[in-house]
Amino acid sequence: MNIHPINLCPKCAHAPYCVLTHAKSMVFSCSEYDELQYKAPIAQLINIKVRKPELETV
Amino acid sequence: MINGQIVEKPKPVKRGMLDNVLEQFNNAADSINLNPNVRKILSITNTEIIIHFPVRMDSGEVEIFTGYRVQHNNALGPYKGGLRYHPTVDIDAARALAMWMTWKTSLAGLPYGGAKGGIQIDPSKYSKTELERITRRFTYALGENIGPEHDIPAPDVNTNDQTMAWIADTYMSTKNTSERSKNQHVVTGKPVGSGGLEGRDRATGYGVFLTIKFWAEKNNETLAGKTFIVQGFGNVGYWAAHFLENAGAKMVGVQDAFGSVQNKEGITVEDLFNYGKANNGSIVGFPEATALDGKNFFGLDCDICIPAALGNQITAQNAASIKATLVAEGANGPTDVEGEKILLERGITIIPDIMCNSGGVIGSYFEWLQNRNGELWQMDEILEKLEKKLLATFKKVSDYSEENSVDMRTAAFAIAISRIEKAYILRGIFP
Repeated sequence: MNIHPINLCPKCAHAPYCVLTHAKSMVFSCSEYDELQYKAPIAQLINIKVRKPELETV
Repeated sequence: MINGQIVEKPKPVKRGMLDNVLEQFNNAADSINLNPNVRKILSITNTEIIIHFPVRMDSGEVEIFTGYRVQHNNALGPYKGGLRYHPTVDIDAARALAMWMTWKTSLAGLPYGGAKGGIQIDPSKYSKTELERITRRFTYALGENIGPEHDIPAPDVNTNDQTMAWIADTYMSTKNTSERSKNQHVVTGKPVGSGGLEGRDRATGYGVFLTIKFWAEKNNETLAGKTFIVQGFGNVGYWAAHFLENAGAKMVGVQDAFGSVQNKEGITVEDLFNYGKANNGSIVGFPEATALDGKNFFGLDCDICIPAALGNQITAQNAASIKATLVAEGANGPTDVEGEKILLERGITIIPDIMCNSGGVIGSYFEWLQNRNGELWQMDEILEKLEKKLLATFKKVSDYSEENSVDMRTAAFAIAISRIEKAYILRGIFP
């Protein structure tokens, strides 16, 4: 897949199977576009303690 | 420099990515014999802002992000246009899309200019709390480069009502306590409970339906019994289909990212919508329809074809096979230049995207007005106002098209650009 200056497809969740277009290097607007889900907060992912706000440590 | 940020010297808009935007402008400018000085002004952007700003991540590390805001023209009023979060956001993309917004707001008869912007970012790599901090820091960095009477952003790719709520809250928080509530309309597309507009979700789709209805009325036809196909079953396609079905039309084909389905006897819009919801958004396998090869979708037998998903769908390859007599462009740029030529030669009417899908930006204008006037409008009056506004635009475009023997797209661009030209001629160029 070529990277076009405005190109939504590479980051779209439907890209692997999408039947809407073969020109997946030129899509700048699409009603079906879905971004992959937000990353979970890192603290949740690796189960570490969340940093305390810096002002509290002063 | 504006408020300490770098403001690039305006450059001519580059050809390449969105050739259609410039080509359509130049064609329309030639056809109306546009004042050469106004042509010079409209060929470039007014202001281009690039901001590099730091944000602390959940890990404690600091990342630097790059945000853009391009303001193309404000002859008719404050700049208006979306903010997108995507890795491909850059200054060239923002330029072309900002220019497009100028024509769209002008044609719709709104007191707005055109802008576009965003952050070069892959949102899937960040948590929601990180995205909130990124949004708020970008808003703070933009400072007075946006504002309710200056430049009013809206949702776009990967931004939504939540993003707009964060921007509004951050912007309002930078104002004096007594001034804060006067600045809520710094963005549109906010959540309904936080200054947003009732019915904003259906504004674009309802607009698509209305332009089809106006076309039928103009041709002394009725929508009852008409058949239609729709590409894209998201907010635009679904709502357009919903209102068409209510008017008595019959949906006979649908295509989404997963596949295509058809039924000559008709597909019930709500049934398909509910099926999709229960199947991770996919319409494939809907029991009241049969599957169809995507290549043959636009060749389905129907009266009305609604490409409401993405660009470059009707091309030289499939335009000759289209059986509809009307193409209503719910998406942006669904018909390419060669495809359009074939459709027009075959006598097929095209309701151009710049008018057909303008219900969304008109809805944004209503939200802005509602906030500005301290009012809360009900759904029925919003849909009524939208119909009145779109009808005025449709009549202008239709009349111009007939009087000048040009297609509706050429007419729409001519009207949009003429309106801006008139503003410049009346007020002159300072000093």
